[in-house]
Amino acid sequence: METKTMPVRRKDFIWREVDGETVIISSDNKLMHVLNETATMIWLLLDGNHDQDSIAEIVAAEFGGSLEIVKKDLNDCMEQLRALNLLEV
Amino acid sequence: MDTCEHTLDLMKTFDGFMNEKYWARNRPINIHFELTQRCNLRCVHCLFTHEVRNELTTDEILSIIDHLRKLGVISLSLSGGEIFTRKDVSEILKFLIKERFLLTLYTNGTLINDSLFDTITTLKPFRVEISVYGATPDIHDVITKVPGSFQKTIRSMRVLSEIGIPVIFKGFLLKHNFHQRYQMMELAKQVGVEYAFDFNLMPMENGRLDNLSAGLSINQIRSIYHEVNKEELILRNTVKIKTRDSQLPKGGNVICNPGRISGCISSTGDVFPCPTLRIPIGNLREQSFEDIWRTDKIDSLRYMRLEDLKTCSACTTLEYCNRCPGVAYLETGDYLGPSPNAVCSKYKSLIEERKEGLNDE
Repeated sequence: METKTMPVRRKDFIWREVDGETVIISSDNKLMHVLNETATMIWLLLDGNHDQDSIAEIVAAEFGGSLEIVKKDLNDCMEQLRALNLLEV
Repeated sequence: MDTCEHTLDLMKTFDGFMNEKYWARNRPINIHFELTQRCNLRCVHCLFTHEVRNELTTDEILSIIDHLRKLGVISLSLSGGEIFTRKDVSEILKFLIKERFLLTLYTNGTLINDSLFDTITTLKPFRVEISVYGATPDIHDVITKVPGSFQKTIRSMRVLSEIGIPVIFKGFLLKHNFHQRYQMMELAKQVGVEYAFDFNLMPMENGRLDNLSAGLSINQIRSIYHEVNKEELILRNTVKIKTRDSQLPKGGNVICNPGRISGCISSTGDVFPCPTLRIPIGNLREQSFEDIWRTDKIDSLRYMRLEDLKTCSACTTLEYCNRCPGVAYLETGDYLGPSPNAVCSKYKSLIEERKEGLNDE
C-alpha cells in the first residue's frame, strides 16, 4: 500500500462539517455522502499536506488505540473514498 | 469507518442527516440572497419597486457568504433585481469558486458578457435559471419594456447551454404571452434546456396590487389545469396545503416552515424567513446571521398550524388552495389571513380544476 503520497479530497465537491460529521455533495446535486466523526477527521486531513502515515498518527493520537490497527482502518477508509471517487487522482 | 452513499433528492435521501443536523436545530441549509434591487428590465408583473437603497457592499456580501458556509449552508441562490447589474458581480462569483455552494443563479441573462461567461464556466453553478416572457421579441420585450431584451436573454441561454451549464428556461405566463406557451416550450427544446412555467403572481413589496392585473385570467388558468400533465406543460410552485408528518411539533399540523432551514437575505441585509414572507427578523449590519436565526421569536412563523389560520381554516376550498403566508402578508399585512386578490379571487373559481389536478397526481 502506498502511504507516502499526500492524498487530496476532491475540490469540485461541496462539503460541510456539521457537528463533527460531514456531508459531501457533488456539484450536480446527484451524489451525496455522509461521513461519520472518524471519517470526517480523515477528510479534513486530506488537504495535500499529510501523507497516510501522518494521518494515521494524528487519528491514533485523537481516538487512541493501536497505531497498526488505525493504519489498517485508515487504509480501508481511503479505499472507500477512492471507490466513491471523492479523492483527486 | 462507515460512509453512506445516497443519490438524487437532497431532502428525501438525506432524511436522517438532515433531520438531525438541520431540521431538528433549525439550522439553515438553503439561503436565497438578493444581491441587488437594481434591474435593467421593468417587467409589468414584478413585485419589486427597484428603489435602490443602502445596498450591501462587496465586503459585506463576501463576509456574509463566508459566514453562511461556516454555519453549514449548502445551497445558495443569488437573485435580484438583476444580479449582473452589480459592478462587483464578477468578484462575488470568483469568491464563490473558492467557497463552494450548491449554487443557483437567477437572472434575465441580458447582461452576461464573455468575461462573465468564463467566470460562470469555472464556477460550475448547480444551475442558472433564466426568466423568459415570450417566444418572440414582440411579446417578451413588451412585458420587459426593454427592446432587444429577448435576443440577449436567448443568446445567454444558448451560450450557457453550449458550455455545459445546466440552464432552466423559466417561463412566466401572463395574460399577454399566454397564447405563446407552447411556442415557449418549443423554444426551450430548440435551445436545449429544461423548462418550467409559473403563473402565480405576488403583490408588490410595498403592498400595491397594480401588478396583479398582468396575471392570467380565470379561464386561462382553467386551461392550464387541463393541460398540465397532458401537454408537457410543466408547472412550478403548485403549492397546496398539506401536513408534513415527519416534522410536526406536538399537537399541530404544520403547513409551512419559513425560517427553519431556508431563509432570505435582502440587498440591504434584512433577513426574512422566506423570500416571499418578507417580515424582517433582523439585519446583518447589526447582528450575525447565526444570532438572528437563533431567535425563538419567530416560532409562530416556523410552526404555523392549520388552526392558526384566520378565515382560511374554515374555508371549504382550503385543501385545494395555493395559499401562501408570504403572499397574504404582502397583500394584507397578515400572514395568517387570506389573500383576497392574489389567491382567493382565482382559486375559489377553480375548485373543480384543482380537485381534478390533485386526483391526477
